[in-house]
Amino acid sequence: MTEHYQVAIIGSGPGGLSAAITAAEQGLSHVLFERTSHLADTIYKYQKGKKVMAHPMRLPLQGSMPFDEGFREGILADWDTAAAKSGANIKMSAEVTKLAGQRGAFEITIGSGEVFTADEVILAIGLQGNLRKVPVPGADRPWVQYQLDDPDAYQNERIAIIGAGDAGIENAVALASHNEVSIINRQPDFARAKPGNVALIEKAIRSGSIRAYANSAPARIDDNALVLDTAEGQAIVPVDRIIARLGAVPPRKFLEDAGIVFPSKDPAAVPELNETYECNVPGLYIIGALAGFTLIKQAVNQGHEIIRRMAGDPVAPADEDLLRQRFEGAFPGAAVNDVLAYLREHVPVLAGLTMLQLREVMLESAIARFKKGDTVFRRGDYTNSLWNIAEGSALVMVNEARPDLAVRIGAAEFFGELGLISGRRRTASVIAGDESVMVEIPRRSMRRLQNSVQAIKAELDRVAMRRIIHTALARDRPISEIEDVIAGAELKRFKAYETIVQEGDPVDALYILRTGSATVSRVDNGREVALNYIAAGSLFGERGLLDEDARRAATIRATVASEAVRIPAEIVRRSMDRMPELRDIFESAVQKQLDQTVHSALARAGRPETTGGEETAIASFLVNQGVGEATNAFIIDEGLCTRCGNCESACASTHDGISRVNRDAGQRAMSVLLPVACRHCENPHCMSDCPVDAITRAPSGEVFIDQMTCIGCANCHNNCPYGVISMVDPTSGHMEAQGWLGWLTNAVGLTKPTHVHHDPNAPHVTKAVKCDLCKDTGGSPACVAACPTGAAVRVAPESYMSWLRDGRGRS
Amino acid sequence: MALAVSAVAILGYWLQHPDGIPNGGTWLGYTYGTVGFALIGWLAWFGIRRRRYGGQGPLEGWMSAHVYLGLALIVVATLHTGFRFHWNVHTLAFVLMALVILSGVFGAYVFLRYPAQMTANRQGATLKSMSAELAALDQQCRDLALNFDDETAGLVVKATEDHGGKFTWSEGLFGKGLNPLEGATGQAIKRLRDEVGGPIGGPGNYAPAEVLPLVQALTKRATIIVKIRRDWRYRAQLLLWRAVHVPLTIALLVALTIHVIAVFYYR
Repeated sequence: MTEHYQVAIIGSGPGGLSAAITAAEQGLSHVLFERTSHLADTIYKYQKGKKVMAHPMRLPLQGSMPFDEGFREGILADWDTAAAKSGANIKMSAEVTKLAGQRGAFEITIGSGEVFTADEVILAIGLQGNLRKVPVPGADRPWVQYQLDDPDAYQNERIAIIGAGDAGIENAVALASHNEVSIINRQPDFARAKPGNVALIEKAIRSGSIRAYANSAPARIDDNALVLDTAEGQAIVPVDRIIARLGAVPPRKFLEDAGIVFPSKDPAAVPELNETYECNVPGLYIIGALAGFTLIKQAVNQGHEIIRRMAGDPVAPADEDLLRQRFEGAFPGAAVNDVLAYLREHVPVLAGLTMLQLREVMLESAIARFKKGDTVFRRGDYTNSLWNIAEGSALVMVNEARPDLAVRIGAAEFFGELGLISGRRRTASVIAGDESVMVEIPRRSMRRLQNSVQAIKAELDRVAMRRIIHTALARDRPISEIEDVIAGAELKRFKAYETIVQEGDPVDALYILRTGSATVSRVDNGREVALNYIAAGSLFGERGLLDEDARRAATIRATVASEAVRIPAEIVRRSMDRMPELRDIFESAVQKQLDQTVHSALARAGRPETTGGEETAIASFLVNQGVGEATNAFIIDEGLCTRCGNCESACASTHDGISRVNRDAGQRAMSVLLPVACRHCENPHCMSDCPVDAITRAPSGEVFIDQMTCIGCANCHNNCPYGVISMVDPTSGHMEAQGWLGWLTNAVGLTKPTHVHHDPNAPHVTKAVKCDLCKDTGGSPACVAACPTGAAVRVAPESYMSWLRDGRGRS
Repeated sequence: MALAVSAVAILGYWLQHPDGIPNGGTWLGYTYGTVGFALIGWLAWFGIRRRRYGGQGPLEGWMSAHVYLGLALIVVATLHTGFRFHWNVHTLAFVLMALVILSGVFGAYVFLRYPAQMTANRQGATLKSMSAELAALDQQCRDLALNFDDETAGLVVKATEDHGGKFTWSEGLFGKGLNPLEGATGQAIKRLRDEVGGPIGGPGNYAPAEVLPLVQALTKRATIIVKIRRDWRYRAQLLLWRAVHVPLTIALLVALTIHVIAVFYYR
């Protein structure tokens, strides 16, 4: 006779344990299967003394399982105690090998061959139990490992690292000082890793301290040897140890065998769930990291909620109060579920979401009521959320001087998609057209929605293209008059450095840059001369458009991955008779270019003649360094820089002794130094994956990290391609009085930054730190203000060219 | 502004043309003295201002004003003396002031001239990358030297021990040690060229083709060492003039205080 339970829980992490403790309290017959011999293996494997955060702070914790911010050891001890006290039925060292059946008749087989049955099953196995393994014979040898706790524990060994992602590179570099290390890379290069790590590993390979096998994959593992398939045939690498860092993914086979359906083939895809966390198999619930919820508190709450519902004593979801507060302003006193239903009905973007997705989106979004004429946002703001009109209307002030030309956007429509897509300043102010209810969805949530709901992205792209064409070409006419132009336009994507327009080609189309940026250059006396920079939202390629025999006068190249709307020339020519103002638009664009040329010629007059070669070299250097996606980059002209270091000291002094500028690690071309410092990208890479939303862009453009919210997960640090985010102990910096000698030689210094040395063994917290453009000091950035010679500047990409031509060398 | 101050000062002196012996005691002298005193105070304040960060506008303007008003101070203070100098604390203050301004002029020269030269010298490299290149060349030289006799190899090894870091203050400041072919490197190259390789029929035991790679590597590392030294020199000069400018300023402030007190006390 097999043992039968009302509920079987698989996995004893935060979610599973919380469910088991609640089940014990509720008197449900239950069993918890844990693969290892201890609870919560993922957290157990955290490094010793790791600080564990309890985010999101505002989310309350449900149930009696204890959890608060603390250190690994304390949290594990609390959980052991709570599990014992609750009397939860936990089977250790019981790996579930097979799961079958559905509500009322689940069959769970464990490693020993025992079979259990249950009415309902909660899957809370997380991801870390399923590290990707080396899929070759011999990978079961004990010296093949998937984790590296302490690099100093290995000395004088021959170690092969398999996997050239960030984890693999970091392990390889850490081990290289005391061991003979090889790294096995399936790819020809290290494109997958962040640039800082790429630089590290390439340097180590050049210096010979790490041996790299590119285009290679393991074939088998023998005694003390790793056999590789390489492009040149098999290679044998003698090893004492293999460390494979291949990432973690859901155990797809196990889950699919249980009948769970995944929405896509992507190995990282998460199964679809309804609002009670039930998947497509009736009676099977999935919670925690496996369901895409990465935070401990979320999992604890989910485990508790599911059991309470099973026990017939449901609790409101943990986010209920938070949502009620969110809705209070626009819908005082309304029930959360009613508002959610209202949103699904009135906001098409939200209509296709599951209830769980909707709740998560609304936790980050805002609902606001506007009176007629209220400002929603202003032209020039750096906000990038999407606004949806549930009721009422909005007026887009395409021409501030002519309110009568404002474009009306009605209920069930959205606006603000340009800022969302391009990451640049708002191109027009928007005011409420009537008494309105609007939902503001932040960029982060939109990105997640777009990834999971394809239809949203398609609709967003379609509307954005209509509007961008309307704004650029016919802002003074109703959009209905240019339907033919819109129909003939297409969205083109360009890779970084790809040529969009080639000098000498026929003028066959007009472009509007939607995202990214581009440079304009021309070949002059056999040399390429950079002329200009095109920012997202600009019109280009209009010169000669009206003349059928015209040729392109310059080459235009994308500086980063970019998107442009392309409108064929004949469509524009055809529209010309109907819309004579097009001629003015094109002429004013030409006029602007002319003005710039004259301006820089005047500025250059009286200065030594330059060939333009240097400017072009510096411009292409800046572009290669990714400055094309910056909105505000820190640049030093080394022809003026006296190396006094005042910029770094000023930065440190303004930011608790920790400088966010690093000149030594910067890149140079000619006399231009691009120090390692935040450029405040158009679409910041750092913001894309912050689990607690600690990184924000201020309306005036600064991208900054809220130190109180940051949990030190280092996602942003890893995501930044420019290495400008450091992980530091925020209490380690400190401003100290100058010593007597420094006082004499280094001018009358008041204080200087020093490093406070904490006991390295004491538990400590690191947080992400980066430039915030000194937004809290009220003045200009301290680095620039403190430069005595004007060598240090912060410039927007639109001004790079003019800075290169006119600004440098001025003293 | 600085020109205006100087012009007004000179004009005033010329118009007023003090009767009797010109001295600091006339009303014009007092005016010059007061203006000069205020200027010195303001100029010295720059040292503190320079390291007070945030909220006071760009430092670039202050820097430029510091230079021009500093130059104007010479005119004002000289007129204040009425061209009379003696061996006393008053003249000491003036001499100190002149030295401070002179060192400042040198500093301005250094600031204007060296950053560009320093950039040109580095050619995009950093001290770190130069050291790395040097280390690679060291290894190459030592490996190549194994093919030669002990004495030559010894010289090469000795040459590779010079990393450009060892030189005296005076060498650093006044540009000595910038000849790439002096010291052990020069000796090694000389030996390789004249004795070991040598012209056909000479005392050499090796063909020129065998000697060439080592000579090339040695020459290359010698030029890097010169670059490193030059870089040190630029950095030293960008920093060290302040070691004169700042202490002299403090001395000046002391002397100036005594001067003012003395003048009013013994009036």
